Amino acid sequence: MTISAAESPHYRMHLNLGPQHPSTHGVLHLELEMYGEYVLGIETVLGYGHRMHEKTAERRSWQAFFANTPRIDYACGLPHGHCYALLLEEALQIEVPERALSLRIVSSELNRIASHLLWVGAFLLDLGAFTPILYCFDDREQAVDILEHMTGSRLTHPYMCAGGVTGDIDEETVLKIRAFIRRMRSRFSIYERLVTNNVIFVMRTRGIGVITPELARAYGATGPVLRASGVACDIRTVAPYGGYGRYTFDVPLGASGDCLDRYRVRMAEIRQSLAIIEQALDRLPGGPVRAAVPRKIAPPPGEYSSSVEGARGHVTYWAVSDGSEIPYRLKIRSACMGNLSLLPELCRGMLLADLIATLGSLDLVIPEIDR
Amino acid sequence: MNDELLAGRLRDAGAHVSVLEARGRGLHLRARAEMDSLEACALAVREAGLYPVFMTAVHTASGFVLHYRFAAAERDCRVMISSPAGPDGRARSLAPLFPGLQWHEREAIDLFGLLFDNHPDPRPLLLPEEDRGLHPLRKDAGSLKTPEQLGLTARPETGGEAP
Repeated sequence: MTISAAESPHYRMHLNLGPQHPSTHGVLHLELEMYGEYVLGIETVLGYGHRMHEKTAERRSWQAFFANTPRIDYACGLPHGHCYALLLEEALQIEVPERALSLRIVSSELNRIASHLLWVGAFLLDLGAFTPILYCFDDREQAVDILEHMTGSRLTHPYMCAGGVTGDIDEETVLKIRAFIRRMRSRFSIYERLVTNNVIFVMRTRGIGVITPELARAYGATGPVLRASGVACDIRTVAPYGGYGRYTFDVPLGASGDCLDRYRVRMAEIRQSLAIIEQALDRLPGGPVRAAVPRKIAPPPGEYSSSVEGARGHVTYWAVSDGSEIPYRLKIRSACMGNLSLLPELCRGMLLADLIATLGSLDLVIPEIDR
Repeated sequence: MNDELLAGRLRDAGAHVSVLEARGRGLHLRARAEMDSLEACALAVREAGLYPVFMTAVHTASGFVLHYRFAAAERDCRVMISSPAGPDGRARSLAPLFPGLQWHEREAIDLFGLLFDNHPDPRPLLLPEEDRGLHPLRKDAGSLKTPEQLGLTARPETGGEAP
């Protein structure tokens, strides 16, 4: 069966996938043009989770927008808050205390681990494997408990603020995080036996959804999706921010850019995040966790930007100030938009089951695209 | 192509280029171009191997100013190219050069009501059909500021100098 036979009307079908389908995470709606089991064309329908955060920013004070940041990407919100904090600190020339820098990195990396674990479970669920998500949520629960203790919230962590973080951690929390690192390291062998070496999983993902570095570059795909294609693009190492330059860690890379590589890269990133957290705790400095920043701030007129590495890739905040207490314009670049926008080109001619695998492997949080 | 060469290519394309050292973290270029030279600038950026980060606009008292942001994957090089849109928000699309900008420009059509002449697929992206024409990021006439008030124009002390 070839795609050119698609002219025959008998096998052509218009298929709606989502927005309520369990494998279109969040609220993604795909309109598929099918020929039997083969995908001829994909139309992506977005906007179901659109909340107009950028307009909200133009109606409230600079400081008040911190409440929005974790809600943009609810699966890994702390890097968004980190990015916005970096922007304000650059605009106002605020020096952040050393302890706050470390706590930001600890919490961001815990958030990244929680996000990757959520993804592994959900991805395997998409492929028809029910068991792994039980293990993933068991592990993720430990990370989320620590984050709840640190930030006061389990999902939309209100932790980052201009000049530091909102709360300190005590010795008990440090011990809890160390226990989590030990526990998590002992779990990788379980995941290897359950998932990585599972022949059905490997057959479903190897050679499927191959993203070339050129395709990724044309569409602005970043994060683990780009690194799985062998491009060492990690803002934590390419343009270190917030003290990341002082940590030693590897940037895991894939070779072929298929779904299996994207899985491997994310699992390897969990190990690297654990290493970063361990280094941060080993040399956790004392002192305050927040610089004195006035409640009302007004950056001088001009444009400001900051970029961080979120769990899904390159996050950029870009703001224009008119010198008043509310932003004139705030643009939020989400990583998922670039990662999803290559899907129609990538999946043309694919089997529907492979489309589900590829879609899952991109780790999409649709409300982050809609904002 | 190294990054200093890219700055030269952007100047050749007709842009006014400032080299910014963002706290010593590598080379960051800020280019200002007219709409006619925007495509030539984007071609230079594509040849330098940069990927599109985002595209957006700012509504000012003298019309819309488009902003295109690019970055290098494996080195610290970021480029921002801005260009004033024509009257009524008319602009040339860069989506034929960077397919990744297609959705960003569709978003700008939704939120600002920009009109792209050569956009391959100029349909709304985020807003529902009944909100066509809403353009939420346009500002009221009373709250518009000029590019000078917003600090968006080239400052003579940083502008145009090669590193």
